[in-house]
Amino acid sequence: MEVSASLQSSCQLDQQRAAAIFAAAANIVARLILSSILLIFSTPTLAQTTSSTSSTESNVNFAEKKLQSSGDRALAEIRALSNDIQQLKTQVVVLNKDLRNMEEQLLYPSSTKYTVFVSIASGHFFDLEGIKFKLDGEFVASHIYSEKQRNALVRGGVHRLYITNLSEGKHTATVFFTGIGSNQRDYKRAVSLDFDKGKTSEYLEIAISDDGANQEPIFELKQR
Amino acid sequence: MKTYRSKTGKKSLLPAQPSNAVVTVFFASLIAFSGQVFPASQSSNHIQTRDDLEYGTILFNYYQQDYFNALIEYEYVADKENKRANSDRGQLLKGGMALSYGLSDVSESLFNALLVRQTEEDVRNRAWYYLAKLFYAHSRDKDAHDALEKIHGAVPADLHLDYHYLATLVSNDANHLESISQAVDNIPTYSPQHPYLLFNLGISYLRGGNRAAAEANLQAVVAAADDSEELQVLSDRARHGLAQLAIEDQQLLKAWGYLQNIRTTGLYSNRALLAYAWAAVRQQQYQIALPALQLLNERSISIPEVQEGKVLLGHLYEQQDSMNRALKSHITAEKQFLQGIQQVAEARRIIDMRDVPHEFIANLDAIVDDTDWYGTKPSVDYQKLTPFLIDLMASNPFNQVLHELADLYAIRDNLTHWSNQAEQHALILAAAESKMFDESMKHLLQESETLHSRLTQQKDDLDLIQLTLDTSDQERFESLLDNSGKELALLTDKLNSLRKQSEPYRQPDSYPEMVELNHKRIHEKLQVTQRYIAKLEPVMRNLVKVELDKHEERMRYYLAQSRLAKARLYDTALINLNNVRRPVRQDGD
Repeated sequence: MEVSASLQSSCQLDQQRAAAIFAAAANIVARLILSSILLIFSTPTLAQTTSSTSSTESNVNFAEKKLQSSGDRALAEIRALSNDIQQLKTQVVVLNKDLRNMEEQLLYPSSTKYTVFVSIASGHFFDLEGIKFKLDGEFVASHIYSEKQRNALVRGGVHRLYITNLSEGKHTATVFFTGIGSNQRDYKRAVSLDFDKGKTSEYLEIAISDDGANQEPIFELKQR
Repeated sequence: MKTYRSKTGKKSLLPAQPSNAVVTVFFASLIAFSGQVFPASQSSNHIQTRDDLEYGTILFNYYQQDYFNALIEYEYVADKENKRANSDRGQLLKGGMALSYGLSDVSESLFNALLVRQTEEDVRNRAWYYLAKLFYAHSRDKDAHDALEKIHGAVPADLHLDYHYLATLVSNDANHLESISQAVDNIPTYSPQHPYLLFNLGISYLRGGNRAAAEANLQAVVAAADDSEELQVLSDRARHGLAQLAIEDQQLLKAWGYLQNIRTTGLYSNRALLAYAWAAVRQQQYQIALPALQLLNERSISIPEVQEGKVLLGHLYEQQDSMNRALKSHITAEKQFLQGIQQVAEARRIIDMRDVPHEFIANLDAIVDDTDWYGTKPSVDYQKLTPFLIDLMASNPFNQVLHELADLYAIRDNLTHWSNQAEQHALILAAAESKMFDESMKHLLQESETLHSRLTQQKDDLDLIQLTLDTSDQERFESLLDNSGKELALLTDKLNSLRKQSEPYRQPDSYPEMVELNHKRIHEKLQVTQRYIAKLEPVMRNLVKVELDKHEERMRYYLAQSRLAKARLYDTALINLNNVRRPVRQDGD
């Protein structure tokens, strides 16, 4: 039993020795492979970058040349097309102007054309949100203003609200304003105007301004 | 240090551009001059004539930065011989709008024409200023510098800030910088552009080699930051610049101090976290570098700093002899790099889809959503594509291609709309030709007249009845009767107008030909637009693909680093195991 036990243990030791020798050999092979890989990847390793004095930027320029050349190609393409595109843009702007004139000629003869504009002067006491426009008893136009549009109005822009044909003679225009008043409360107001339309095209200005003395907005309809 | 990161993280030599609200600095001055000097709001008498009303419609589009429609409105209004539109100032406005819409040739010739004429000094100064901007935008710095030099007398008050802002971008030599610096000192510190002026001046000083002045200006930017997100971002950027300067001077502690104060969630957080970690590593303060890298590690794999951070994190664990954590970190990094490479492949598939360039540009605002640019939780469409395009978005070629494509798409939409309207135009023409003043119309007129006389009679009766009532009752009915009277007056007026008409309005014979010609023009321009789009879309796709190549190459590089580190750690583990077993074997012997 003792012999067999000692044989068994020596056998186990031989196996362990063989395994250790095999592991050592594997280690050597692995190191050789690793070192050859490291040689192949000649780019700096992290340890190298750590010790380098350069900034945090990586030292490797990834696809730099490719990027540069594709960027150059794109710029060259844009430059080649630039004049043509500018020309197209200019022509399209003029075409739009012509088409708009054409539509107006088709739809609104100059004798009956009637255009309604909205303007804001100052606007300290009223934040315009929306407008409804009634002409001769019928609601014909309405508009809800975005923040951008409100700012544009306050800075001096004028909104063309409505174009129509209006016969010569008497008419009534009524405008309903909704918005926020100076006390941050909902504010609604309506203004009406009776007017005579003449033989030529005419403008109506819906003007919002401030009454500084009363700290109230003023709403007016002005024939132009 | 001569490089800075733009908002999108792109390395850039360009000084700071104000974001969002103040990014419009470039255009703000154009906006300000378009009337006279516009205050924040208009005075009560800004509209006196019909010309003012028409001119105001140009400004309405212009103030919304809708330059295409503003230019159309300008052409339309100028065509109607509007005096304001055709004045020198109107021309100046057109030049500014054309410049903003990318029609630099048009605007340059307009400004030059204005300068040739004997215009007033204010207009001349403005024209030179805009020409300087135009030259600067085209990288013609010498011309821009010369144009600014031509501004004589008082700089228009509303251009004051913008003039100096441009001067900080254009002028680099010491003499000019000194004079600009003095001018900037006189600008109120509460002005929104003031910190940007300081920042740009700092960068200009740096380019000129005056590091002390550059540092002082950047520190002033840091000091100027308040609670607003915009100034916080600028302050982060200034701190990052200061840190880089300190690193160059080998003053790591000082650099670290700046980096510590950069926010961990702002626009510059990724770079700052990585720079902070590196600064700590150089001082061998590995434990302090870890939290910054762990924070970076949670962010999107598409961010270059995150990729570098992942490899660095594993390395730091190694330095701390925490081999298990190092191995785990490298194994996780390897998996994530592989996922990143898969994402790049998916992004490539997306960019090849048919309508992607159009949709990409249409959703650009959402895509460059500031709130999420650093990639913790992507929330926009094109999530699989856009994380890889952050750097590309800041590149000049890509921006130019996007800009031109966006304009071409807008033109295509506009022309398609007109093309659809062609049917309506034909209908209008046909309806106008078929208008007749026949018997039915005469019959209708007779009926209306009968009705009118009956209503008039009824109104008269009501008036008489009202007179018989008590005063209080009379007052109750008064407004009702007044309104009825008005309605009746309107009806009478309409009837009178109709009676005067002997035949309906006839359109001139030239109209059908005019309509046909214009429709032909629409068709032609639409074809040209499609052709240009077909040329530019592949350019955009190619730029995106090359950018994706860059990402893939970088991720493969870091993947290799992670794998090597993992192999090295396994190797070390094997050696350690071997060393542990050897004594056992020796014991056995």
